[in-house]
Order: sequence, then C-alpha cells, then structure tokens
Amino acid sequence: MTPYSSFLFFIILGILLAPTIILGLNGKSFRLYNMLVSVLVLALIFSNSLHGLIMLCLFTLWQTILIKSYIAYRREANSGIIFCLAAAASILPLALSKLLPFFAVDNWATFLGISYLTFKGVQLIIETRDGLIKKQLPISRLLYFILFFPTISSGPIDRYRRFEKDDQTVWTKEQYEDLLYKGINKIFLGFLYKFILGYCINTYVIMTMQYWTSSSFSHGLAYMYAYSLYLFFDFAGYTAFAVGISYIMGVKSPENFNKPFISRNIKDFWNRWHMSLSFWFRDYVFMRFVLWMTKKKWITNRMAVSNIGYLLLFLLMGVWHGLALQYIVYGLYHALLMVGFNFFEKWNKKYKWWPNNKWTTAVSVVVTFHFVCFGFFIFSGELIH
Amino acid sequence: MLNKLKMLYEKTAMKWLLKTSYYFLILMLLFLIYGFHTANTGSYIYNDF
Repeated sequence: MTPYSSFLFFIILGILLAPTIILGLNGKSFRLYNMLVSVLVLALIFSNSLHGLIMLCLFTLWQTILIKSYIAYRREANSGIIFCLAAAASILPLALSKLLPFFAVDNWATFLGISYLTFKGVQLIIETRDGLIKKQLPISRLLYFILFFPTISSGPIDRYRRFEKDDQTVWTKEQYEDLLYKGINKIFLGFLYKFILGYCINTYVIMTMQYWTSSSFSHGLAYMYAYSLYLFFDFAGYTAFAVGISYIMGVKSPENFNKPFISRNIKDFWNRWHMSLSFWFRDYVFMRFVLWMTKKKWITNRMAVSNIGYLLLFLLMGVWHGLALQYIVYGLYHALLMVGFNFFEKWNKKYKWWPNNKWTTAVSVVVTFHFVCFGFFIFSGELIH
Repeated sequence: MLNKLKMLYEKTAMKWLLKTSYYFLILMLLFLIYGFHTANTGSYIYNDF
C-alpha cells in the first residue's frame, strides 16, 4: 500500500494512532506504542511487495552493522580511508538501485524509500566521523530513526540528534495539544494540495492539454507551468502528510517547502524547495568539498571553489534522481544557474546595477519563477524526449 | 481597515470560525471530487526516486 495515497490508509492510521493521541493528551509517554505502530504500518506498506520487504530488512541490517561498527571503530581510531569505505558501503545499495536499470538489468536492489533511508545512514556515518556522535547508539533507537514510517517513502530527511531529542521528550499535555493541532492542520493542508489541487491540475489540465493547445510551443509552455505546479502540490502534499503524522507521533520532522515560488533568486529557491534534501547536500557534499579544497589549497580562488562545489552538488543531485538524460541536464542547468547567480551577485555588489527595493524584488520573483519552471520542464522529460 | 481586519482575526471566535470553515471546505471538496468512493490518487512523483 502506497503511503498517503488512499483514504483507507488514513482511516487505518487514524485507528492505529488513536492510543498515541489519548496517551499524548494525558501527558504520558507513547514511545513504545509508536514503535509498535511503526512496525505495523511498515508491514502494511510492504504488504503487496514481499521482495520490497526482504530488501528493506537486508538494507536495514546492512546499515545497522555498518553504523554500529563504524561508531565502535571511531572510538578507537580515525582513519580517512576507513571513513570513505564506510560511507561508500552505506551508499552501495542505493548506487546499485540507480545503476541496475541503466544496464537494463532487473532492479532487485530497490525498494520504496531506499534513497531516504540511505541519506539517514550516510548522515550517521559522517556525523560519527565529525565527532558529533560519540556514544554507541542503542539498537532500538537507531532502528526507530531509520525506519520511522511517516517519512519512509520520500522524506523529509531528519537529522539523528534532532530526532533523538524529540523522541526522548515526554510532551506535557499542553505541548502535545499544540503538536496534535499542528499535525491535523498539516494533514488537511496535504489533502488540499495532493487530493484537490494536484488532482485537479493533473486531471483537468495536464491530461486534457492535447485537446486545447494549438501548437507544440503553446503545449510546451502550458505543460511547463502545469507540471511545475503539479510537482509542487504533489510533493508538498506528501510532505504535509508526512510531517503532520510525525507531529501526531511527537516528532517534529523538518519541513521541505517554504513558499518556493516566491523565491527572489535561485539561491533563495534552494533554501525553500525540498529543503531537507538541499540542506543534506549542502552540509555533506558542498561544505565538505569547500573545506577539503581550502585545507588542501589545490584551488585558492574562493569563487572557483564555490562554483565547482555547486557543479558537484547539482550533478550529484541530478544523478540521484536517476541515470537518465533529463535528470543530468536538470542538475547541470541548476548548477549553471547557481554559478551564473554567483557571478551576478559579485558583479552587482560592485556596480549596484540591480537595487534592492519592492519593485526589483517583484521582478526577481517573476524571473526566478520562470527559470525554476523551465528547470521542471527539463526534469519532466517533456523537453528532451 | 487592515488593522481592523487584523484585530478581528485576533478574536478567538473569529479564528475558530475561519479555521472550521477552512477544514469544512476541504472536506466538502473531497466529497465533491471523490464522493464515497475509495480515493486512490496513485503514487507520488518523488516515491520513484
């Protein structure tokens, strides 16, 4: 059963989470019960895919062994090679799941949520390397973090230390009332986005487009706007459900969206769109690359280091979506936009050509919106195929 | 005018009324679109990644 895709799923969740809500409203701990609910809902999600369930179990076992072994090793030593090997081993299942379709081989390595579980696993290894995680993690806490069902299929990608803090908190009655209210509000927002707006855009605009567009240009243009909005409402709807259910379970999962279509520039956009993923790439790819380059002094020009970092980040992000031309071009396109904006920002600082006022902000929002929509047009595959 | 509207919105009863109307509208739209059928909107785009 696909999470959050049918009313039946929500009805089952409502029944399963009723004891959580009762315990929360009485200021009692619901941690153990939530763990049990997680196992039940995971069984429900993978009930129609035994292969997916087996792969999920094997993947979790693999990540658990890796993470616990690396924490044990890190308490004694700190070799860069061992760290790279541990991180590579953590990424291996995801890399296989992306590479197998490219070679037209049966994709036995994949299952629902593999990407997002990998991001969590790699994050734990990197944070252990950085000395942010020092103590061995109890197995139940580690498994609960990795397999936390509300965010399993498409994130948002939480951070272990933040998750653990929420997980260990016994919310007071008043605090839980607030969490419950916010959670329900987010679930309603999810219904509005996914089941109403997303559904209407897909059914009444995208699927009927061929009948009312007169040329390939007008079709392309209409598709670009409609697909961009559809992608947003689909993904933001999912995120609202995932975050809403997390809140009801006492975990304040991070948000993924913050009004991305009113971004003033492309940098601003990536601080508002799929935030948990872009922050993950920023912290664990971009920042590490910049620090590494600065330490090694291979390239001393800070602008060049930052631009190469953007290229690396967005190419990786593109490839992560899949080894297909549209995703690689999408990654390159955003890398070029970021590099271009970097140059423009520096140049504008010197010449003050583009002032900062409400009119220029409005123009910037419109221009950024169009650049972003064109990016989604590439992403959709409609431009390339 | 804007201040008056803001003050009106600050009132608990008004907040309650607006929020209830917002939830009610969403529920009504769901009934209008899906009726009593089991809605299945299919998968999510990002589930494939």
